[in-house]
Amino acid sequence: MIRRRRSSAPFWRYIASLGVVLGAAAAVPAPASAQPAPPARRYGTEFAIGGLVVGPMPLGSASADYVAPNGGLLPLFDTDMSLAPAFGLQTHLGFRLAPRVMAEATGSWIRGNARAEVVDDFEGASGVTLSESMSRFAVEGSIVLAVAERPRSAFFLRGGAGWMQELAQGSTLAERGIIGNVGAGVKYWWRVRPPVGPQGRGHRLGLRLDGHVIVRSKGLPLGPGGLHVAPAVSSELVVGF
Amino acid sequence: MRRSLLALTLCSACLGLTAGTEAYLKLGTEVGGRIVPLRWIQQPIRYFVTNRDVSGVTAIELQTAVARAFASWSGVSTAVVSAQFAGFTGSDPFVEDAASVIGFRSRPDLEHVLGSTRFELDAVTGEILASDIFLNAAFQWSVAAGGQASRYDVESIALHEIGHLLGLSHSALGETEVLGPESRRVIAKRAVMFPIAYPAGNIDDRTLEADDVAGVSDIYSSAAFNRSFGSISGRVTLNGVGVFGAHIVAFNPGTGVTTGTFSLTSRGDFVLAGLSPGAYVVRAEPLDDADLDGFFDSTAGVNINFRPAYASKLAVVPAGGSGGTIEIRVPSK
Repeated sequence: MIRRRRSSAPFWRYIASLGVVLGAAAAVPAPASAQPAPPARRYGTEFAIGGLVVGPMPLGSASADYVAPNGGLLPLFDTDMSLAPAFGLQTHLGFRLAPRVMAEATGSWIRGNARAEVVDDFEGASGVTLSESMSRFAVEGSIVLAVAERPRSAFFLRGGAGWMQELAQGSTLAERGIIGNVGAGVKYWWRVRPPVGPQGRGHRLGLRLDGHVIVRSKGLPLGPGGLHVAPAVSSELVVGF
Repeated sequence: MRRSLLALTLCSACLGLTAGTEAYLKLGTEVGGRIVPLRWIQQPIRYFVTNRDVSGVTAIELQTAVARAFASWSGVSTAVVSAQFAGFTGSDPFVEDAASVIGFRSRPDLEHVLGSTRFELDAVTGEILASDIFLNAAFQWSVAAGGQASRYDVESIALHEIGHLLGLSHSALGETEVLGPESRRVIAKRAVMFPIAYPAGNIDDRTLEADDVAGVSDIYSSAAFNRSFGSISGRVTLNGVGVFGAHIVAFNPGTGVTTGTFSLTSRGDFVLAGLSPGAYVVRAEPLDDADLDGFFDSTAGVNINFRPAYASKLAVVPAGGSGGTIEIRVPSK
């Protein structure tokens, strides 16, 4: 059975462009008046908000089959289902558990399209790609582990899971599911106000870049069940205090 | 006179009635200038079985197979259908006696008909008062658990005929090839209510398909059905003009279920009910895999001069409602 895959080149070009822009932003020199960053433990809470881009998520293939007298299957047509690249917003609220470990609550919303590529029609109908708008709300809990910290940057690993609701055609159809994430990222602090005194709280402002893999289970019933995976990147303004 | 007799010859070479105006292809009759669907109001449906053996099948074996077929329809969780065996009778089916009788009759003149169904209706309401089914004893029959070569399976054909008895017409979910005048062979199908049976020896039609379940659920809806299932409505057009009699297929990639209906107005309108929530690929095709008169009593308006095509977007079906209207623009042949 022929299975065709869409090219994801435009999506990856977009991601590459986003990376260049954000990388350039992160490379902007800190103000001359900036002080050396204090130890991370002095900033117990972080809040971030920004944009999220989720890559194409293949959902599997299915055939509209008739049953032949010998028990064999005759496909009337084949479908290849996916979620097209989607864009949205993401916010994090993190609490430091240990010098290198934060617990993080994440809320996100994306909007995109569910897609069905229809091919191999038994009676020769032209292949088509059908779509319908969809959106996803998700709330996740994650653990963030800082693997390398410097005065103005931190590299981290992140993993977690949570609940999601996917909507199709506005809110005509709503289905719940489970969503997980695993990935890595970097925070760059370009404005730092250190704490004053031993009990004081400082604050800092920076940029957070995050690349991760989304794992989805259930949600809109758009293809054979199981786990489905998509890449995602986000860019957020982050405040530590 | 309130009681009227309406004869249908259905299965394997068939005569259908004008379809109902919503969802699925249901049998209907004209009452007071409008089409009303045929359905039983009084349940359980009480039926008799003719007390006569034929080659390979005793009356008791026939009754047992018919009971299993009724149980399959009654077992549809989203429909409210019940039936009760009332006893054996010396009467033949198709005798006007106000009783529902199922049995064999030898009709060698009907060389392409394995069975048929006939109704007595309330001419005012369209309520089915009685319905007879005959299986054509001119063919060889079997009730063997695994089927028997060269013999048609009683339970499979009874399941199809009982679908008619409940008010369903034919489904077009299948592909056939023409073997000769008035003769077709099934290549593949996905509905017990497809008008052409599998070959002798096959027992696959003992199991209802999703399309059959959607049809009977539409007629005898349970509360769960109305709450949990939705519908797709739309229109089939050819050069901007509605297409009557187009076969509509809706496929749910999430469940793998295929369901069908027809466009039933001159505007090309259709409604496909009994669909589980999800996103559907919807396709329209000409009704060219069975004889037209197996579906519609008047075939004059049925348009088959177009090529298959898909709706321009995915159709979204919510639980207990409809996701809006879609249009399928089909190209001419």
